[in-house]
Amino acid sequence: MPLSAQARELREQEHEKAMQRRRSFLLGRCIAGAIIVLLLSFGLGAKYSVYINGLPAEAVKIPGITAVADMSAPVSAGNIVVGLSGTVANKGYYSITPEVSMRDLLAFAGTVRDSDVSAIDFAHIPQHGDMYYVRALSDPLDISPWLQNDLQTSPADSDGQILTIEPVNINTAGLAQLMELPGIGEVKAQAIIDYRIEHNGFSYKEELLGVKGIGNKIYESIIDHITV
Amino acid sequence: MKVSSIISRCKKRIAVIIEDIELFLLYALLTAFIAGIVVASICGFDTAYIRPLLISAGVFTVICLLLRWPGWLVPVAMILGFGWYGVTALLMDSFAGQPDEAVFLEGFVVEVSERAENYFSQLAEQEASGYSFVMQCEDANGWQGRVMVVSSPVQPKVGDRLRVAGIVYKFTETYNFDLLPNNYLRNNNIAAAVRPVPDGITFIHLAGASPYALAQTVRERVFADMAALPDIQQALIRGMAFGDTGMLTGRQSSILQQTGIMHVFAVSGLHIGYIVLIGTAVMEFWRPKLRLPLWTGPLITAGLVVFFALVVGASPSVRRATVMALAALFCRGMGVRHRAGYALIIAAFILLLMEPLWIFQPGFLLSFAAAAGIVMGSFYLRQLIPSRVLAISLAAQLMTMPILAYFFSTVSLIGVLLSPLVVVAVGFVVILALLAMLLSFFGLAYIPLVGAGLLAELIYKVTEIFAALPNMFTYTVRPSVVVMVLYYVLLWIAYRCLKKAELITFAEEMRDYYGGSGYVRKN
Repeated sequence: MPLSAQARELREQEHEKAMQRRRSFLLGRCIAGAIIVLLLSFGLGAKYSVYINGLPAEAVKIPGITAVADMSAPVSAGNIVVGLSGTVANKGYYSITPEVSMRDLLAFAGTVRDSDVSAIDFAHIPQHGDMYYVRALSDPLDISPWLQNDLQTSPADSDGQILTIEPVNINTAGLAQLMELPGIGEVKAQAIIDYRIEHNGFSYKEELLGVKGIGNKIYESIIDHITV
Repeated sequence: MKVSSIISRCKKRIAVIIEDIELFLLYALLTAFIAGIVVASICGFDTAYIRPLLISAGVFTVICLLLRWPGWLVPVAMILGFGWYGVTALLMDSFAGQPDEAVFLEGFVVEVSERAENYFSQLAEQEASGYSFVMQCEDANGWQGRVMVVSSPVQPKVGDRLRVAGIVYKFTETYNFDLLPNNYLRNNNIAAAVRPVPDGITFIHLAGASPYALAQTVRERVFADMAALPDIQQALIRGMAFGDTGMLTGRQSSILQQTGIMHVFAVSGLHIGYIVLIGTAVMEFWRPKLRLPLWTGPLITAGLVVFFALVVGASPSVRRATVMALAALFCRGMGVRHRAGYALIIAAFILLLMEPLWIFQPGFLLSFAAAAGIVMGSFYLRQLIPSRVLAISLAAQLMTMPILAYFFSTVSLIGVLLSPLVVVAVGFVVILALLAMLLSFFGLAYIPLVGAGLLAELIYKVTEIFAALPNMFTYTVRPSVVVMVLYYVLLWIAYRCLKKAELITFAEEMRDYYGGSGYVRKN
């Protein structure tokens, strides 16, 4: 016997109620399950942060950088020892391979929120004995140079006499000659040449401060080695 | 059989599984978490997995919330379990101290050995003198984890805060060639062993009064009262009632393993069960007389269970049994139905959450396998074997046999018959030991301990007689994991065949799906 319209409507209402109960049931289950998953995720995150905080410097996976005890530590042939200090996470002395650049070293050092790397010359090629100091934003400008090297000496000639370095004429020097200046890499040397071409040469040494990438620190480090 | 009918049956089976996931979502999530830990322990883990794992977990969670189907959280739980084990293993392995290197640690004591000689010397290359304890500590680099201090001139208490300067000591091999080498430290989540240098231990803060301190005081009193008993009786009572097997000789341990009754020396469900039995009986006698509400009985019994667990120490079997007992008491107190299988899943989750590296610890595996066998397998075997005790013993033995073969290379053929006898007798030893704990406050513990000692020695003599019989046990080749999985699959197939032959009824057919949630099972 076919159902009357009323019976049909009643059945549809019951079906709708059952579907509504199922939707509420599943939503409740989703929320409860999501809460459990969220709590487990927080726990996992906390464990992982404990693991990261407890890692020694050597464990950070940057190839070519190994922690050493001090500047005089024996290292593999071809490697050099540099130091990191100031507002960085990983301070200390590190043996690095020739392929490691300033950028790699600073990425490894781990700058923090307050670190100020604007004074650092990223084109600088690390040398043995370099001590890099990363200042904090709140430090005075002249707190400490970003680079110091007490181990570097001038190259000796064949008779063992210490050669004096001739001042470099920044109006006539080529790229290679400019790169011999302390703190001047290929990028800054090219910038000097570009500025020289654009402005028809330098009239005063102080005009170097107008070259992109050369700030007070670099200027002070090269002023005794240049001439116009 | 037509393909269409097979497809139809598969579809129905999938629909049932989907409904089960929805109904029992909590247990599905916990089981998936445990499965993730198992997978991580087999496959290994690397820090490179962290980011993809978190991304995939986030994706599944979003899908779950968008589609409003909670089953999508199951793979999330498995991913989190994978990461949980992996990060724990990384944390332990990141201890930077090398052998013979000096380390400086600060932390608090979490476990002590009670004997003057090195308790852990069973696993060490040399028998060093001194006390041993485990610290949860931090080193100079900020690494946090557990370190075992061996050959210590002082014996701290659990909870003491110390500063230790020592030399890293590396265990290389066990002296027992039947055991798998060099897993003891890792299975107990201990990163390294350290020998303190002279004057290298500084106490920063002493542990104060606590229920744990009281429990340990009870334990020390009972052990002190036991000192007048013969060594063999002391060793047996310590093992049967307190789970301390340190005084057992090698020969005694071998006999107990070969006869398959070593499990009574691991404080577990048997002992906790007696505590619950005694606690329930006492409260059911006094509760009506004192007009206390219904929930006070399970609450006080739960307190006794926890106190007993503090007395005997926190081994995997004790923790498992304690969690299951508390779950059962909670259900009884709330007046809801209790399912032992679900309590087992919750216990496994809680234990692996605290100690994920226990996943392949023999004590953990044996405890849970035996409990799973009793909870699930004994239901079927009781329909075949008239004796309930024999059915339970056989169910536990069937589940633990491959694990015993893997870790100890022995299979006991007499264990099925001997275990029920020993378990009943050991129950009296446990009850006498509990009485001794109570009477230790009055200096009368020696009285029940004499009886316990005589009974324990009698049990051991009977065991020796059985061990001397021919073919009571056999040494086996260590089975591979594939063989073990195949064994459990064949066991499951055997149960299915018995069902098909209508010799047994499955538990699922007796489950009640309508739990009052408003959910209607689809037909």
